[in-house]
Amino acid sequence: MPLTPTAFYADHLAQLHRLLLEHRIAKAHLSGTGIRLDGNDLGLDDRFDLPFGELSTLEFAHLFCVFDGSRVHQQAEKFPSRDDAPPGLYFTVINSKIIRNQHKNRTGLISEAVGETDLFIEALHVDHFFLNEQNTPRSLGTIAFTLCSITAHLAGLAHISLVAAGGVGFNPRHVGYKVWPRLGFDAALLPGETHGVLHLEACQTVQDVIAIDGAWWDAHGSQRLMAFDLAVASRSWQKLIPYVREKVLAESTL
Amino acid sequence: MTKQATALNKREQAFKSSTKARTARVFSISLKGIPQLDTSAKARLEAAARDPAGKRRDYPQLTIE
Repeated sequence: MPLTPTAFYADHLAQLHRLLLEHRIAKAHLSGTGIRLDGNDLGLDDRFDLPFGELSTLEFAHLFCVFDGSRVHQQAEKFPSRDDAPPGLYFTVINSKIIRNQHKNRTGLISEAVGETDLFIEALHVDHFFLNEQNTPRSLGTIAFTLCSITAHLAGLAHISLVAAGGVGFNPRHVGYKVWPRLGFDAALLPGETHGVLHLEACQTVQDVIAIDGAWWDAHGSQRLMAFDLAVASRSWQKLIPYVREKVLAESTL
Repeated sequence: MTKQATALNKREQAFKSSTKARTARVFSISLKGIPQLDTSAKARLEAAARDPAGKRRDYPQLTIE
């Protein structure tokens, strides 16, 4: 069964989705063409039968950030990986032009228990994501992530998680702890993290802090597992939608 | 006239045979057999993400304006 749009999608995401699909960068790099999945050359009329519905090749490419001309390998991981990624069904994307040298992007579909109940939700985990900045337009990463998140919302997934790296006490060459929250990723603060900082003492999450004092987070924040909440009208969407409109669509020539 | 018509027919036949040979496929993607992430496993992954001595060298990176 094809993906079913929500009312939130119709009201808040559909126009953005259409503009991104028509964007010259998406047409050049995220059109679902030239993809080889485990030895099969994909056609745009192929379909993907997933637990939550049926995806077209284009939707599959957007959900797992598969750039045109990529080779893709599917791997079932039954245990946490050596990089501490959760068990899941991962898609490794190899593309020597788009992805930074020696890297392979890797995104997986995971199933996560809801508290201590028997209920579970399905979600995405981004294990690796690196673009070759010299060979790619500067908005490609943001466009790829936005198409991924919109497709994941349409698929009914709950969230997208990743490790936002760097910050105080961590490798200084990583800046993910500053960058991913700008696109809507969030996480709980650590116990006592803002203790003694009067204007931030009531904050409970990274986004709470950023809403009051983004400079404080840039200077004092640090690495952790973060998630983009795909639920209707979430705080994550409230960050991502205006960001993409301002930074990607406003200054681009479609 | 005849030559041109023949060439066109060949191109048309080639197009028809190439489109005929390509049949849409359905790829099944299942989470069967993959364990769910429970609260204790998630807590371990959250702790691992906070480990400054972790052996992992690279993390998801994105350049934005």
